[in-house]
Amino acid sequence: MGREPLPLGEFEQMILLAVLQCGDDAYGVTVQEELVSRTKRRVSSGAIYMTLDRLEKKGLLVSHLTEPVAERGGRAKRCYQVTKPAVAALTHSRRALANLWEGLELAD
Amino acid sequence: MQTLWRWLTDRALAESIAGDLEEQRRRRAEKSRVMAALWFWRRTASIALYLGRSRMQTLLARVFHQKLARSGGIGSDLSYSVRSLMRAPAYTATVIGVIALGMTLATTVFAVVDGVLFKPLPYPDADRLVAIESGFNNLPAPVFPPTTWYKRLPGNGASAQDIASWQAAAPDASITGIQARTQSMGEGVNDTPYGVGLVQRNFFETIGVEPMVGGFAGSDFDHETLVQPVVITNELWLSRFHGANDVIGQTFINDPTTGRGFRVAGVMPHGFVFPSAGAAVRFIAPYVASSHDLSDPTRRSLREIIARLPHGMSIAALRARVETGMATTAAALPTKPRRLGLSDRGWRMEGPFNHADVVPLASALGVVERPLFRAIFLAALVLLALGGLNVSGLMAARGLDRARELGLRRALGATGVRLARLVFLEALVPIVVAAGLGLALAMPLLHIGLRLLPDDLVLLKPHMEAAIDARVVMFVVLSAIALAVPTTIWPIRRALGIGATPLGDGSRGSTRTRSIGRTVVIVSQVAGALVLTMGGALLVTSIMAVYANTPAIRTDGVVVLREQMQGDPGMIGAPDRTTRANALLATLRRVPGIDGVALTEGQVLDGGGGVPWWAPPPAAARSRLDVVAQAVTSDFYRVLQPQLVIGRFPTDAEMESDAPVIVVSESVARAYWPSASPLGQTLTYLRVAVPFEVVGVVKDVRWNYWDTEVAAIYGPFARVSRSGNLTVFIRTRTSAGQITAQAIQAITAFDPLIKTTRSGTLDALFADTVRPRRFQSWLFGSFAVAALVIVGAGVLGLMAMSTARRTREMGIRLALGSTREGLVRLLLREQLMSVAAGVVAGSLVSAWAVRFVRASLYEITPYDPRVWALAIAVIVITTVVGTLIPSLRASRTDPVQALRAE
Repeated sequence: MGREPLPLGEFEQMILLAVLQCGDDAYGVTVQEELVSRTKRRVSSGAIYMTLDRLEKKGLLVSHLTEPVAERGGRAKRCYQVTKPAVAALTHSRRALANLWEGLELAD
Repeated sequence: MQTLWRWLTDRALAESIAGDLEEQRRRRAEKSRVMAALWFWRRTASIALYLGRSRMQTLLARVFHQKLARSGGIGSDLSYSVRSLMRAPAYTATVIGVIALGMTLATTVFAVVDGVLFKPLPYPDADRLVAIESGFNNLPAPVFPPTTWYKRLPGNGASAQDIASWQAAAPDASITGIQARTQSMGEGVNDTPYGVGLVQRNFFETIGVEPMVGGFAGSDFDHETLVQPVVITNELWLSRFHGANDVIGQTFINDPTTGRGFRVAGVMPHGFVFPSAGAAVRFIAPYVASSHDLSDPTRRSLREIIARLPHGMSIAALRARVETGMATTAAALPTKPRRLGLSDRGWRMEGPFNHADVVPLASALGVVERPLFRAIFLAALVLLALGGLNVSGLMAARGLDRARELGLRRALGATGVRLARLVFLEALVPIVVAAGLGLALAMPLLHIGLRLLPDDLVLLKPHMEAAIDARVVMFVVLSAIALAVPTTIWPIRRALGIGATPLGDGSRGSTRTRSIGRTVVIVSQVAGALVLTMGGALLVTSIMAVYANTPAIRTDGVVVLREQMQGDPGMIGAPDRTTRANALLATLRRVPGIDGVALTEGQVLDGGGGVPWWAPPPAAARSRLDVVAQAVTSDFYRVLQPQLVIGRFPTDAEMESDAPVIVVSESVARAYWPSASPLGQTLTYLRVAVPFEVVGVVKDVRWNYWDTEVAAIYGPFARVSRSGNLTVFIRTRTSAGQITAQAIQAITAFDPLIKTTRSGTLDALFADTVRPRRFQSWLFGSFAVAALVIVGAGVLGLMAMSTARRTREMGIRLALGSTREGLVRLLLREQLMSVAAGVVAGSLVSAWAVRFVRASLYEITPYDPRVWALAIAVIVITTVVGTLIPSLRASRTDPVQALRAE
């Protein structure tokens, strides 16, 4: 049996899913735009950066720097990608939620 | 910004955040740069606050909570209090901000005024030191200009002979005289004047402090020398001479043409302050009586007299001995004829003293500054108290919000003491943080304040020591404790009162009490803020009036040079002086760029009063008007263009021939000929036989200070000039700096014995004279702004908490048909009753308090209705805004959500 996937908080899941949705261009700005457009809720920018950083430290994200560009005041962009352990953790969370939802039907 | 991010997080994340913000800002700037900038700063603040909080929580959890929470007792309560405060960031930030604002201002003010108001005098046995103020019994009242910034010291000084006779009458005491003044130490034109104190030979013995190195020789007091020996203060030794070991014996020549200069003979010890209320002295020099002083015993050139009481002698006893000495002097004084034009007061003051006041030196020093500093310090304390009141209200309101939690603690066994400790600690933590913040912010504010302080203010401590020292830190600590105790009494009482219904919300039966409490807080805050706002508004309006009123001469494009003609004979109308002055004018007229040049020998921006050179007409012989006597040359009226009221200016022919014609100012015309036309009238000038005819009347000009019109008489230079101290006015359309340099060069080349001592544009020189007034306006204006911020924040905070508790009531009202506008009107009406009461209370206090600024006002009275209306309007608007914001939020309550909420 493999190592048990890391447990994920709700916001961490949302960040990882947003990174996946953004594809190759997943950085602070695009992750926030993706979250706001898909969840229709206001998200604190500070929380996004802290969570991205925390997820990277946990090994669930990796980042790389692009070339510096003038639009960013000559600074490089830090782009994120989801790792295999993150995919495993997301899948595990989804399966767990699906199991909990099974047989339930709630009216809006 | 980069530094901010790197402080809050690691470098990699910092770069990422900074880059993302910049990218989004530029994108938004394509639509609107202003909105982009607003968005940028809002987003930056939001991220910074989040990261800062996170970092703080992590730090506290690691270092603080784990240790303290396990420690139990106070440690655990402290840990809980900090966590509780972190969960209410808006409340915590408001409390810390309000107290820090008050603490910053109060600390800064204390650091400055400490020397004058609180610090004991830095001399051994200082309570045995007294000041002797010489005077006259039954002296007629003086006539001074209504707004004068003269340093008018108490007493009338003394001559060396006076002091000798007082010493003879009290041989056990040690009596010494000093003369403190500001003078140039010769670094060039416009060099910074220093305070110089001339002292008698027993000065150091009387004060009880000797130079730490060097000193005066006995012969230094016997005769004047070209190179004057001076003992310098420790602060000057460090700042100007960089603490050099070989400073003793160093010689500095001020004036190469005459060889005048000074030689450093000694250095005073660290912390020494020269005991003068007249100037902040840095150089101490020996007093040598001049031949004039020796020949005329009524020349009282020693302005301040200090004595050391021997043990066993009281102040009253010394006073009696001094008056005995005065009687001895009076008997020996030769009689002299009364000068024409001398007022009764002036005549008495030329006679012998017959009255002495002896006061402790501590109350004599700083006598000019003390009223101002007291007012400033009181204002700072009012501000601090305002902040404390504000915070007390917020804490009490927060306590009500926590009533249920505190009731639960009671039910679970917490004692009243434990609850009180919890509430106290939660109040103490932000106060301590605010005190630290206030101390940190006071440092840069103190630097700004010291730069704005007029140079001649006596602080009674070296400028370098007007800093954050141990006494200032102690003040902050004591203020924090003094603030914490009363601020928490009310919330603690509330917390202790919760025990009766432990699981209730603590609000049953206390709505009225809450309402009264909130009303009291708001009324007090509004009243306190109104007092400070009123003071600030009066002083700011006053200085605006100063700048708005023109000085009645043309000042734009005029450069002023102060010239000293060495070798002047000092006689009235000396022909040699006129020849030199005319040649000087001809030289300057040849300088390219000069459109007109004239000069006067008279008081110009020297701050002095007039000497009675012109005799009033017989019908006005008793007039006590101070008149400035101007001796002017031919182009004077063309260059300065004084505003003519009636009559005419002297013609060119009259000016060329030095005809005995004069122009007088309005005040002179009113005082001397109240019911007749001044034109054609005549006046006589001291020791000049021919009478002078009045040909014109001009408006009074502010010859002494920017804010004081003075009476003046303008006569022909050749006939009425008295000395070689001249003021040259140059009209030019080119750059003032360039013309000044060229003119000074031309003067030096023409005659090296004519020395330029000061230069500048007339506008700038006038403006410099109102530096004290500007300082006051800045200071009290700052207090007013701070008070408004505190009141606004306080009202907003209290209203926000109050409306939050009334959510259910708001919901019911809306459900029953009330409109949102009606709800806002209801809340506003409730609040404005308290505000109105506060305005009434504040107005009553202000009506009493504004008398303290009366002497500082220009062309307005302390009860000017426009200023009062403005101050009240500002307070009302501030409180209305503070009320409106939470009211509008409350009116947007969803009735369904409100009714569901408990």
